[in-house]
Amino acid sequence: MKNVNGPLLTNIYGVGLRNVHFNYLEQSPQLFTGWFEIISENFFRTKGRPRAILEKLRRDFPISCHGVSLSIASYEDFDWDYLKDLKNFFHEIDPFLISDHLCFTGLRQNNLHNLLPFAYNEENLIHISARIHEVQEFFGRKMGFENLSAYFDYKESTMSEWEFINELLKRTDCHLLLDLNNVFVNSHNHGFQVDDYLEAIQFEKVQQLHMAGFSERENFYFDTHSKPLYPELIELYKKVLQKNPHIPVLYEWDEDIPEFPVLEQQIIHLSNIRAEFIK
Amino acid sequence: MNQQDFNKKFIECIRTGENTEELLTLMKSFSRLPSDRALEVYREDYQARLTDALKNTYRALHAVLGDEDFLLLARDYLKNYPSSYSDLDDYGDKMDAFLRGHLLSDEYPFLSQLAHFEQMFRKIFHQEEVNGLQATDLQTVITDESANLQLVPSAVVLSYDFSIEKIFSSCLSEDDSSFDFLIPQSILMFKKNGLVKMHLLSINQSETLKKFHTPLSFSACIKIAPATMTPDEMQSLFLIIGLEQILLKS
Repeated sequence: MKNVNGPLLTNIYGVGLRNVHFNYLEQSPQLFTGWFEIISENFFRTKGRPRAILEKLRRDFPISCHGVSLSIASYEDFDWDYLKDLKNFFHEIDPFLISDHLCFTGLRQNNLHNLLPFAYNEENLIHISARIHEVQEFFGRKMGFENLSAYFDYKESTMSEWEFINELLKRTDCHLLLDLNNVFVNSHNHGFQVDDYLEAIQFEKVQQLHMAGFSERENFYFDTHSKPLYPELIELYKKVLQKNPHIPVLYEWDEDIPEFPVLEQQIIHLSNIRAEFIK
Repeated sequence: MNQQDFNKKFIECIRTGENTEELLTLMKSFSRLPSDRALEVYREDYQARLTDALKNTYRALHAVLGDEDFLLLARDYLKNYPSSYSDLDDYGDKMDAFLRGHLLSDEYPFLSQLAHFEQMFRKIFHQEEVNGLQATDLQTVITDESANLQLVPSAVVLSYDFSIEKIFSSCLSEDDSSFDFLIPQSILMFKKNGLVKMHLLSINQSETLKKFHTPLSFSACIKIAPATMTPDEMQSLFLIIGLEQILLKS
């Protein structure tokens, strides 16, 4: 399978492109960010302003396309019209990474628009591996898949999340988009050790990191992407730096989104930590 | 239960509350969040996401109804229409039809048409901007009886029984001055320089311009234009067509 990574990133820190920042970005301000990640579904079928902004940014920045509707763990056939439009879109935008989530999102006629967990067992390993092969074959390139935050587990799970992911990476040769926030949130909610997770994960397969701020209610953590960096996440990032300091990092902020410079402060902070680490 | 069956039952459970007891026997509870509460979290999240999508598309409808009634409307809509879209922002495209028979329309008879207007606004916003003939080129083409003209894809002519554009504008500008919303309105909505723009039209002008939703020569259009159309109406329509470049040679 062809590995389309495009040019090496000169700055490994990126942010999510959100429409609340369009006005700001249209002014072509001086930016720290080295690249943008887009939610593919917000851009792939529009010829309106979102597309115009994306094309403007694409002239100066690498783009990573991250999807939310592939539903790789679904037991229905893919929505081939959706995949064809995505493929055309990738051809036009030439992203350095294409990715989606390790989840199902609903049924074709009943999309919950959420990232829903599945049981970590052999049945799903066989099924999802076959689907990843199918979709990578269709796109003609590898995809990244993101670990998700789950608010329940299945009694039918026979392996840990990291064991499942490792086996999936081995069987499909896909990339891992490692969401550190999700690892942290799951470790707190599910009661496992973060170190067990990070020690087990094959970092050579990690093509991108996601970081975000979570929220807390009744001592349960929710992956809301609504806060600045927490010290716990920074500590986790330092552990990742020891594994591989060159992985591109995205900061996500999707609720109560602040001004763009505040968002950039998060990645500047991470960049400073990395600079100290590799000094 | 295999994963395929679980998925179906889980989705039904989130949408309708069915299958809850059965699903709970298959889920592993966390000490910090019992499984029944986890289902509630997913249910609340589902409703919040789709309601937010409706709010984004129907900003004026939301402003007219206020939070409480809009939330009730969204809940009703969700019950009747699950999403079949890959992009959440597309959710809600049957709102105008849904509102035609909805109780809220008894109080606000313009709701369905306002929803239609907002759908069209969204459609034109995402449409590729196409510039039609400039006024000078148009002069040449209208004398050619064999040349057919058509509205550009980024323009549409809309007619409503109520002052929909006025309702829409006043909602979004939070203008609370009173006006008679019972006056019918015809609107040319089009895209220019990346923005959705509008011109109000007379009934005669809109009837004439609507003919160009399908290819038609200018002379043929004049022949079937309303008999009551005045020279002033025709002249101002021609000015708009030339200025806004909304007709293409097809």
